[in-house]
Amino acid sequence: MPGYRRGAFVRSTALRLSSLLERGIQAEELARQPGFLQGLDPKAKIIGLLSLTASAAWTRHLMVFAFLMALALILAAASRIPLKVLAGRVWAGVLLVTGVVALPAVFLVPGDILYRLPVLHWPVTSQGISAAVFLIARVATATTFSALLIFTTPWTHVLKGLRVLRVPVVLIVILSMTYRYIVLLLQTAYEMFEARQSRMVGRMDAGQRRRMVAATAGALLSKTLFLSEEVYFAMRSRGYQGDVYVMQEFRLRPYDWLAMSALTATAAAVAWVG
Amino acid sequence: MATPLFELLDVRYEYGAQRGLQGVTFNVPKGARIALLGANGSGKSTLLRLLDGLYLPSAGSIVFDGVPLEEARMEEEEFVFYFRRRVALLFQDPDVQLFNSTVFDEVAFGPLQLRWPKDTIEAKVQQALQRLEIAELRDRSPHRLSGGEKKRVALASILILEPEVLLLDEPTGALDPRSQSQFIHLLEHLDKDKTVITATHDLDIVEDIADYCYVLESGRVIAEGEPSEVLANVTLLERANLIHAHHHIHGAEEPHYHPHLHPPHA
Repeated sequence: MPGYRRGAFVRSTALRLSSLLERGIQAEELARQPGFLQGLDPKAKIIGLLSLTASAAWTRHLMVFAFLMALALILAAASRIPLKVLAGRVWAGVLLVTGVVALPAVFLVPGDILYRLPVLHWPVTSQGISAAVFLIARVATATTFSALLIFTTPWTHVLKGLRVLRVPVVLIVILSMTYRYIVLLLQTAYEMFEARQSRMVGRMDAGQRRRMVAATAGALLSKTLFLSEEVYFAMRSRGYQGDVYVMQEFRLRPYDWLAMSALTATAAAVAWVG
Repeated sequence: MATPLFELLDVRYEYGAQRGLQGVTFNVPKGARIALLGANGSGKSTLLRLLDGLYLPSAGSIVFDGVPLEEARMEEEEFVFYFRRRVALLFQDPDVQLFNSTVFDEVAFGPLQLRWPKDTIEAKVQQALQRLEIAELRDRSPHRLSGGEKKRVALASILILEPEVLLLDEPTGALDPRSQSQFIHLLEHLDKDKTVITATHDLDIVEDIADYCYVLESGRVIAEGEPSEVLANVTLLERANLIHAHHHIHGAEEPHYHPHLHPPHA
């Protein structure tokens, strides 16, 4: 089994963790810059964009998908979300994940045979291609609208918007704390890999890499358990007794009502056209 | 001697088979500034958590303003409101204490749990942030802040409750010298009637933050006294692992080695 340079494996893992942290920071920066969607009340945005996301599930025409995607791109441009961010973080992932899921449909869906694969002789059907294209288009459209919500709304505002929409407070608190401590956990993992890298020379075989990853996961789990107990104490120390009380600050302005109505009306029209 | 706010009688605390505290007895008068001195693992943090009602003694008793801190009592909502309003703990690691998504939410968390009116909370959060010179951090995520900023936010999150008793666990730990000095300045300018109990092994700050000290070693109080007395007792500090003997070279005409003690105020 070929050996990996120890530094290379640990460094690449640390770099991936660092890149995840940077993505989180960049998403929050995008959410705080001026722009059309950034200027809307979170409730209006959540209702408007989620209804467009849902409408993508009803669509059965490629032209409607094209319209929805064009609308998403206009909203992204008006909100100063760079295309490369959407391409790198949303569409590449959609193609990779949904593409793998959709690929078998090209061969397995029965219908008019357009082509046969050499050697394997698997049939490529027009109905199969159509099913794969619809699946990818549906996921890409829905994901783009969801991503626009995340890229244009600070996470805290998303949570506050959800609270106002009657999502249970306990769920909101869990989401909020998960986000908060995922960052801390990523940072801890990054520092652990960095510390390891600083003490390593030579090559590392597959067994050593597995042991290292397992040891890191074990240490992180142990830290997480410790941290969860400590956080509980910190909450109790400030009066937490099982119920959570929150501040609600958002009020819809006429501008928010107008934008929300326009987005939901578009979603309704898309669902009606099908 | 003023009326004791806390009365500790033969307090013991065990973590499973491990002994945390082994028979601690002392009183804390109202308005006292007390330092709990000891090396890592001496029981300082455990003692603070017992005083904050987060842990309950395995044996012995802790009485707060005439009321014993017992399990049944700590489950009474009315008493918890009363106690949490009066006693607040600053944790050693601010990452533990800062669990909300923004600095505003963090500082507002305590008052919200104690059901203060929202208008009051809004105003008090602003005041607390201004007092600690962190008003500009209001909408920032706590995890993106520097160590010094995190400590300030953590302090704001307990000072907003206007507690009578502040329990501070290594408040200057991991701070750079300037942040440390600013932090001590803040503590010195707290209302004089506040009771402040600080756990630390940083001898440089003791005289600034305390007028009485307890020295802990392996879960026991091994000495007590005014800061000047305790800090002058080199044998005691060495025994408590707060200072240590080592060899070094003086910048004299001829370099020489000898066992040398570094008492903080020699």
